[in-house]
Amino acid sequence: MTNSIEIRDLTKTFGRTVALDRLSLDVRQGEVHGFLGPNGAGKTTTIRILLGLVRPDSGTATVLGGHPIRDAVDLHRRIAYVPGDVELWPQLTGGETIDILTRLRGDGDPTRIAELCERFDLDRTKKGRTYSKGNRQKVALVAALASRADLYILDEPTSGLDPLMEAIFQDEIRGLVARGATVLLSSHILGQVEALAHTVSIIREGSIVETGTLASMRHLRRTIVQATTTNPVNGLAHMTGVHHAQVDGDRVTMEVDGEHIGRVMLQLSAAGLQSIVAHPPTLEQMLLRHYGEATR
Amino acid sequence: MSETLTATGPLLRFAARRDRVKLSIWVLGLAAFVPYMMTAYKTIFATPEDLAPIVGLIANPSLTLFTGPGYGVDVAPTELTHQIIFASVYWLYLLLFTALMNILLVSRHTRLEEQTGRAEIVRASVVGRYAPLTSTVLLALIANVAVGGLIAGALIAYDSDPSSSLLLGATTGALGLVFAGVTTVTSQLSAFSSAGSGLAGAVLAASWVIRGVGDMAAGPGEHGTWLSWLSPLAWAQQTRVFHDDRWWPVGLLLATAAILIAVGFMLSARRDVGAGILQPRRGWATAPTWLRSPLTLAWRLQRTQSFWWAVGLTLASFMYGSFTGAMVDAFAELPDIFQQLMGGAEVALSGYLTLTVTMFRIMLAIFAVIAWQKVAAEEVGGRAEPVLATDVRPAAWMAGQFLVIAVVVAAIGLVAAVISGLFAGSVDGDYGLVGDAVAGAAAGLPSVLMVLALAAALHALAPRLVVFAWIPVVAGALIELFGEVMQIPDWARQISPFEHTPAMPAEEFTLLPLVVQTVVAAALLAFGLWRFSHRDIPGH
Repeated sequence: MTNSIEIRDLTKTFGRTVALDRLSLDVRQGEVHGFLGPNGAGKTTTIRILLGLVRPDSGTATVLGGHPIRDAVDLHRRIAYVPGDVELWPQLTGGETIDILTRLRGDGDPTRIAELCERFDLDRTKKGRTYSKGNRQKVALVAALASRADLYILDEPTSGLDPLMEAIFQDEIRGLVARGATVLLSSHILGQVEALAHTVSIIREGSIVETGTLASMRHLRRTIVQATTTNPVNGLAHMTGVHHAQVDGDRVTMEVDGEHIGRVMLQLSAAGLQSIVAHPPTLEQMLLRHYGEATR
Repeated sequence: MSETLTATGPLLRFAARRDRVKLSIWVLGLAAFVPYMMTAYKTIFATPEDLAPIVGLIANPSLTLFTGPGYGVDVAPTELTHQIIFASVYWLYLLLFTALMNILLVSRHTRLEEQTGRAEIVRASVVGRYAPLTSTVLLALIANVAVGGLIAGALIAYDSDPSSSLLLGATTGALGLVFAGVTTVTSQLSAFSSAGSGLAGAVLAASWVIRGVGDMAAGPGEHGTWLSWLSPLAWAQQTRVFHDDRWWPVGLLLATAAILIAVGFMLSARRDVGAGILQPRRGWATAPTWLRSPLTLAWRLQRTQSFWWAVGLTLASFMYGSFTGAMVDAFAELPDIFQQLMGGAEVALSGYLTLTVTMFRIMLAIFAVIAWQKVAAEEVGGRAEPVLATDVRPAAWMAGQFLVIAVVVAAIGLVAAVISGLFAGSVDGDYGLVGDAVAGAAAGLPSVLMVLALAAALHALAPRLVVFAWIPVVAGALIELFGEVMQIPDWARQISPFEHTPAMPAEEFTLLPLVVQTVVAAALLAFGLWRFSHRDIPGH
């Protein structure tokens, strides 16, 4: 399987601020790649480099096999983009804006645009200056989704949309993937990433700190186990792979490393396991682990 | 290479579509200057005898500060034409506004688009690297060709020599392109459109001053000096149009425009979209302790702009002040019509001082409107909303803005008056003129506050109406500076907010007009405060 995006050792500084610090990232063709990170971690800078809007100081980025700046025009025929902060021309209607943006790409399909406006409940006849943040975002979303692109780069595309629209958005993204398109989805909405993304990359302070499928990332993480046993469980605290174990009479709570869960289960069974709740770490917990290090 | 220009055509059409109203008004407004002036001349200078007084006026070396090198005005009065007067006196103002059109056009279509982030969504589409800038330059080219063509056509329609008319039109367009080029460069430097257009405006102001000083330094019978040649505005006037037509300065203008545009393109390729060549500076992590009320917030937001206006007007008062002696010497030879403007020959010194004070009054009124447009932008940009969502009352917010601008206007006016007064005093050692100049500036304050209160009242109706506050300011400037020469009727002069201000120190102090102006200003402000408290603040 080929990669739609290949980034190697990308570095970019703005004055004294280091925005990207040897960032490397692969996005495989046909996947939805979740791109997570706190504000200012470098998500938008990475995306703007991929679009050829920003020149990196060093490192390389390859998009759909091409160079982001040298091949910008050809690449942009195959890329659709939704910026995080959508600004529209105040004197143009939403419909006019969608038309100009899709026509610049050369593939405006009026039926598809009408269908998307209908789905997202967007009034196309209002002027740009009168739209709310959510509606400005819908205009950019419709213009992007109406394009038959190979790669969709979405920078927090639904941060202003309500949950109903969120569901429609997810449905549309699944449609894109079904026909073989690739999606780079920068998002703060973890539920959205969990629902859509095949692969996730976590960026912090300009570098990727973690990348992989959600399943594989969870496997490496601690499972949270709450159990009730007939007899007190002994020696839990000293077992490898067990963390924060708390025994309170017949109840025990602990975090267990993925690869040691089997041995812990044997131990619990031996103590007369009565009930057990085990859940994988949520994306939020995984993120907090990485983000937390920044403030620690 | 050609790929870097992909989509230039569609972007040009798109830019023209967005700008169809504003740009049409600019182009037609500039072109209308010609029929307006030519019609006025036919009334004012109906016979050759009528032309006699203005010959002296134009030929006066001191006045070249406000006109030009004056080619053709030293011919025999019988040979003097309306066209020569137009080219040597009023054309400069047409050139000035054409340059302004280009600065605003280029800034609006390049840096403002990037600053708002709209350029990003365009550049992320199938659009070549140089396409947005190229389409902007082409739009400027079209606008300048239209302005030049219409001006030439209008002059020919008024029985002007076709070849000279074409030269004047072409020169106007070429000068416009120079400032399109200047703005192409300045817009690359900072990430903010106001900085880019402000820098281009400073280049225009410098060109204006250098041309004025250079031409004024020329001796009798001479037309401009080497200093003049440092200003593109002088190149335009050095075409000697309608007198001794020469086309090569047009080539100089076009070559300069081409070089500037090329530099702009080169700089644009060296930077990221949305970023400037210069890195934005960092500021303080915390607000100073005084920044805790709508009043101090208003001051914080107006501070930078106020500072640069203070610098500009201080420099201007040094410039006008340093000509005081030369002006007074030349005054005795001036024709009656100009002496009336300055209050009569016997008071040459105070007359020039009065003219200076009047000029600053107009400039401060311009500042007042620009400053209030910034206030309106606070609301339009949604930045007023979080402030008004605290326990700040709308009336207090607006009153704070008014007070800050009013104090700045008064302070800059005071500084300019003191400097001008000191220069005037140095001529005869009569430093009482400092007090006279300050009194003259103080007498002008109610008229400027009237303009400011009008802007506030318009804002209270709707922020986008603030632009109408320009009408009395522009009309007032034209009436105060050209009213006598143009013989504008008294009733029409009432639109000027400065009309009833006593022209001190040349005229006596009269209290009544100042009381009336203050009452009008207070009424407009009161209406504004009341209306603003009672209307909705539309969401962003």
